[in-house]
Amino acid sequence: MLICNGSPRGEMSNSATIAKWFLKDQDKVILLMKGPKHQEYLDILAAYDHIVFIYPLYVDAMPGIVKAFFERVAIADGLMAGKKVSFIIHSGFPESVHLEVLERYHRILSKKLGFVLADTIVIPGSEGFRLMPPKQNRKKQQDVMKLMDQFRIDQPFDDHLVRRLAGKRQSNKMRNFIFSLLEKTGITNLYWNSNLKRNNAYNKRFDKPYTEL
Amino acid sequence: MRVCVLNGFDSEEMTVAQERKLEQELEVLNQKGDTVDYFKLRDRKIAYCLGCWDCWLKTPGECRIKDEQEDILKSFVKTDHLVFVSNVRLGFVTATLKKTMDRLIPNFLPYIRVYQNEFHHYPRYEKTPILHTRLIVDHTVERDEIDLIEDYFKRVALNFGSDLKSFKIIDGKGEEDYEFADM
Ligand SMILES: Cc1cc2nc3c(=O)[nH]c(=O)nc-3n(C[C@H](O)[C@H](O)[C@H](O)COP(=O)(O)O)c2cc1C
Repeated sequence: MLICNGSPRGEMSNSATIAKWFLKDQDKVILLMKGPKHQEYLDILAAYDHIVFIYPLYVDAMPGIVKAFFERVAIADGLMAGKKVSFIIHSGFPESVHLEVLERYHRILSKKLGFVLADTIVIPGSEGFRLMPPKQNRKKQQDVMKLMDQFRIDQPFDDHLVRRLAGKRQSNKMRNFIFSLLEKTGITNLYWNSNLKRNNAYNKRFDKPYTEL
Repeated sequence: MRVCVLNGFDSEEMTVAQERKLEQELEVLNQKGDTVDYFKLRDRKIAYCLGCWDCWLKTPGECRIKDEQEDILKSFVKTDHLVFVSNVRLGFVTATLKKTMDRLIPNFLPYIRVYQNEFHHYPRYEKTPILHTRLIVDHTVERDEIDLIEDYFKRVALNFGSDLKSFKIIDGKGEEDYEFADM
């Protein structure tokens, strides 16, 4: 199986962490952030019949470099025809509603490139994955591994697992209320603020460098 | 009125007439006395976002890549209207446009708020531009692709704390309804 990691962060990404959840010895990983290698990647793509794209949500869709790769693939006419393709997409925000347009796009892409779409796995709230101890995500890890095992042998995905990973589509009034309370305590900003402080940039956090004087 | 146009049209050859039509339209705005910042993205040197988040956590508001995206970030904070222009490439906006859209995040804060019942980031600046899309299509583009792209820009509008005020198709048939006059 070929795994195309579409994160601009490459090996240091949450996408790479997710890939490790189900990677097997015989699998190969390519990093789409390496733009100059895109041409070379086409030959690799040609050699595999099961391909998984993993990438983060960037401004409500795929990162620009991933779109550039798709456009490159499209020029190589028929390269993807008949291949089995699955997608794992994930986002900073914890609700799956943010990822719906992208999920729909994969259906259009499969028509355009002629591959067989084996569904999209959606995992919202991924930003901390690369920093968390593995056991914290054991359940997600197991679900993704099971789904990928199904993909390898062309079994349809277990819908229950797909839905469990996607979680809630939208927040609700109660959760929003709790969030606004927590926001007042500063807890919701803890991650950002500790990073800002570590970088000696906390005092500049609201800077507006492009405001005209 | 200030208008910032991000033209992500990615081809020199294809449907050039449509792009020319768009540029004529901008010329009219200019003559009316509006300020138009017109960015033809395919002629600019712009790198892909690295996902480093320096613009949030190290040099707040500033991207660490110094290239021709910077003028766009400056225009974004001043403009009343922001117009995304793209042809439909492989059922979506071009990589040329998407690359620039990814690199708008320095103009937002890392902090998260509940906005219209969803989590979104706070804008960094007080002024939020109103969004518009002009989609250049030819006969190969299907309805579901256009619908998807419209839904996409509605999501972007939510994300930016703004509205998608117009979404218009430039289909090259001559009498399209895509004037900027009603901005
Ligand atoms: C430029 C940029 C844009 C992003 N846009 C979104 C977004 O629109 N919605 C969202 O939920 N998360 C967004 N994120 C957050 C990423 O999806 C999230 O941090 C993800 O875990 C990154 O995965 P990676 O480490 O594999 O790249 C964005 C991140 C960056 C750097």
